[in-house]
Amino acid sequence: MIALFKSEFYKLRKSSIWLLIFVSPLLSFFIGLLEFNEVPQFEGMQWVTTMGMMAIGHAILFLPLLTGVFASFVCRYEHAGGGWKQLLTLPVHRGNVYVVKMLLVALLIGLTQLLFVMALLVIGWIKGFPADIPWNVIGSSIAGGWLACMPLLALQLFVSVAWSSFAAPLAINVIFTIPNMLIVNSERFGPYYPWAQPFLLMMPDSSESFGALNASAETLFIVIIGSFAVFFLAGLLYFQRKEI
Amino acid sequence: MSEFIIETKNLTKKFGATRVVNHVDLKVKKGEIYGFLGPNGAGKTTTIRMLLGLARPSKGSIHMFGKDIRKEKLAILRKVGSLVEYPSYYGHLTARENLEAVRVLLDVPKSRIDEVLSIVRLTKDAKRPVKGFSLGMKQRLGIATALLGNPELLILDEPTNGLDPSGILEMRELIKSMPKEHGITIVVSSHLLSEVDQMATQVGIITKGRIIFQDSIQKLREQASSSIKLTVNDVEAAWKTLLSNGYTTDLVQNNIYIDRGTDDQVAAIVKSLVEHDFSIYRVEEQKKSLEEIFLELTGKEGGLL
Ligand SMILES: Nc1ncnc2c1ncn2[C@@H]1O[C@H](COP(=O)(O)OP(=O)(O)OP(=O)(O)O)[C@@H](O)[C@H]1O
Ligand SMILES: [Mg+2]
Repeated sequence: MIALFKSEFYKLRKSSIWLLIFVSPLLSFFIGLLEFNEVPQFEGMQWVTTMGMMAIGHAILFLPLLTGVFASFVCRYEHAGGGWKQLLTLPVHRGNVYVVKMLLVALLIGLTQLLFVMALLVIGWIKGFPADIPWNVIGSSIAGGWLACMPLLALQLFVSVAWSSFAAPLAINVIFTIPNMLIVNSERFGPYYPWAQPFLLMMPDSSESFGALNASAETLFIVIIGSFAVFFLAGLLYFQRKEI
Repeated sequence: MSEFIIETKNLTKKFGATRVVNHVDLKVKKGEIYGFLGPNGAGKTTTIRMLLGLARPSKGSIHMFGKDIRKEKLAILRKVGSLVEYPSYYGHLTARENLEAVRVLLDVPKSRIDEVLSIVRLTKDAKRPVKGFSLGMKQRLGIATALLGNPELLILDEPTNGLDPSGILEMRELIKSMPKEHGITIVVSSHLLSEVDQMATQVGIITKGRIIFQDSIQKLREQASSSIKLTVNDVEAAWKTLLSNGYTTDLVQNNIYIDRGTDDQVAAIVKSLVEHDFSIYRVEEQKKSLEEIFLELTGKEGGLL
């Protein structure tokens, strides 16, 4: 398993796709920087408000898209050069291969989240936000956003493994990401929509009030963990039985 | 433990209703170069995919190194190097990086990479991204990858695909040297009889999913050699006379054929014909080429030679 992780990490590192982890934090950085004059009334709340502003684009659009891109990518170089055939005739467990690919994407998303925090910290430093950084809110928002990507990751990995095309799973992902803006407003559907979940968990409570944000955190956790388990097991089972 | 490195029993693979591999009993002994021969679509690749655990048999069993593949797949795969159909590679990596990504999983020393690179003569190009490689170079990288883990068994599916004549020659020499130098057993599939003839010690011929011949290459050659053709005046009567005297011969297109007869048998048959007053115009030896045997065995539609 460790050897597999090394091997997968090696293949990924030598590609340039991991550079994408910088895109969203960088864009969010500029959004956060430009939002300068708009929130004078939230004195003392700058950290959370700014993060809320930054998180809109990041969590509604980029997190779902990146999850899809990364999931597709760790399968792409296997599909493209007949890599599955080679990898699965080596002495490795198929289940481990699947789990390692998933861990790798989870790691990339995690790094994106860390960079996002760093962007926020730099903005706060530039603008002189209060010194008492609300780590609680920030931490739970970042971790929540990451956690909420997991069902989507499991789903996208399943699709990417099954589909030898690189573009098809991505197209699907884009199509389902676009209505996100509407769905996060829906109290009924939002919590159950894998593409909306990153946003719902990442938004700090006190900022803008979206419909689905009113869903209780408990419900969200159950939905997220439940759907992750379902997608993950389905994908794993499929991959273990797949004929190459 | 059985004496066979690979032994399959009733190995069958169905796609829908068609049996692409049909009750195949492969038997590959240690140190052999087993030529797995068959026309296009015969089921070679499908059989090999099952041997490597890439596809599941619909029926039948596979034992390799005396182990059941359903129970000890990883232990088996650890001892096997393979190349299936076209070579596998990661285009964004260099040849060396490709090998490194696999080496980590096989747990062999780094120096092994240099060894296999030099075996397939890719040392010079090791630092180039593989997506810029020619097919022949990719094929050689595939062989290098297959050799990386010091396998006891090499399974190569059409390894000379896409190689130019000198590449084919080189590959053939490489394959032939393996059992001698390293005691490796090799299964090599091909649709070209001449190719198998030049390197194999054992031959399995498959067509439409069935094994129709499995024995040493000598046995196959023996089939190819001598049948004696007799041209006589009254063929039918001559054939019947021979039959009533206990000699079984073949009557084909107004000629009598004695298949694989010893010298004494041929002499006796001729003598018998003379005694019964038949005129013998000619006694000729007919050499069937391996190609003809192959076509005969596989049926004419398999004629891609
Ligand atoms: N996944 C599949 N689904 C349906 N039919 C298949 C599948 N894979 C192979 N076949 C069929 O099985 C038959 C045997 O294919 P296989 O690739 O094993 O032949 P082969 O002996 O390797 O031929 P070649 O010399 O052309 O490589 C072919 O008729 C092919 O169409
Ligand atoms: Mg084939």
